[in-house]
Amino acid sequence: MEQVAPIENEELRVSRVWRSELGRMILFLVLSVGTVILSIRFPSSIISGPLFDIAGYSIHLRLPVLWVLPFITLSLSFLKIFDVRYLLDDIGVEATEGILRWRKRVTRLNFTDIRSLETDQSLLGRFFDFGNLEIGTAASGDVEITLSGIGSPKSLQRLIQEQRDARILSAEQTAEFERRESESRKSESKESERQGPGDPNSLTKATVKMSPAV
Amino acid sequence: MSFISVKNFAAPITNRVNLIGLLLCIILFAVFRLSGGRIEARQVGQSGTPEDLYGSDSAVMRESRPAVNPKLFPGEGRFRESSEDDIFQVKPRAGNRPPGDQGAGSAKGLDEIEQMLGGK
Repeated sequence: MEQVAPIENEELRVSRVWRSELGRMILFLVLSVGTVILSIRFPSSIISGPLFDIAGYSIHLRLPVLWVLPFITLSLSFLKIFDVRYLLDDIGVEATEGILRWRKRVTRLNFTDIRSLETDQSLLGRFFDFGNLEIGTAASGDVEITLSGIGSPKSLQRLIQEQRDARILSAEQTAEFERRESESRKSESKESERQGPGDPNSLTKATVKMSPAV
Repeated sequence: MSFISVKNFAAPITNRVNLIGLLLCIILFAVFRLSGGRIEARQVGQSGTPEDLYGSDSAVMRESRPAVNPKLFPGEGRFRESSEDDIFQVKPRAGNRPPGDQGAGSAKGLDEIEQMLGGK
């Protein structure tokens, strides 16, 4: 069996990178600066009110209403980044989606089932080295797993390709070995049938008989 | 490995994705504070003073104090001209005045009262 070096007996966790949310990050920074300036300019946009009472104290909140905008922007990015997790182990690829949602979906593919690996990068993605990696199988004929927003998709594609090739090669070698084994077993059984059934010592006797002549 | 270990404490900041996430949360909190947001605990039954409501340490809060328009309150200038000591100055009542301080008008008044009572 050929050794598969990089992820043999260990796991490689791949997560989405923040630079895949570049547009939303820029929007977050712009909104943050705008919130500070506008809250100072328009103090009436700050609302205040009691939240709850605890241990004889009333907890009050002063909330700048405009602050909700960068908060929502960052929350959406957080949801996208930490909602998914991709895992590569010595068996295959696993994609877990919906970690922060009610419905969680786990898709698993064995390396040997992978038939296509495609990378998808935008112009920004090529600049900042991030993109999507689409993995397809022969079973569905379509894309089974999309590793979206990952860093260095090309190198991951190469790694998965190597893993797949190594496993297919080892599977072929194993199949070839088993085929030869079965063939040799068959030929042995045919040989034994040709020499006659029943007497297990016949070959030994023949050898013994022949030996003086030799 | 024990539960409290250096590895567990360092785990959130070993991953770059988590580290950037923490940094962005810090930025969001800083924006919240700079915009004038805060959470405060007040004792139940204690009404907030204007200083409590608007704070004393933030530029935003100083800005948010309502300015008094002198045109809307014409009498405002009177109080401004007088000092704070004037507001709390207690004027002594007639009965509490020192003896030498009583004027001629007040002596006349007493005579009238005596006449009314039939004393004179």
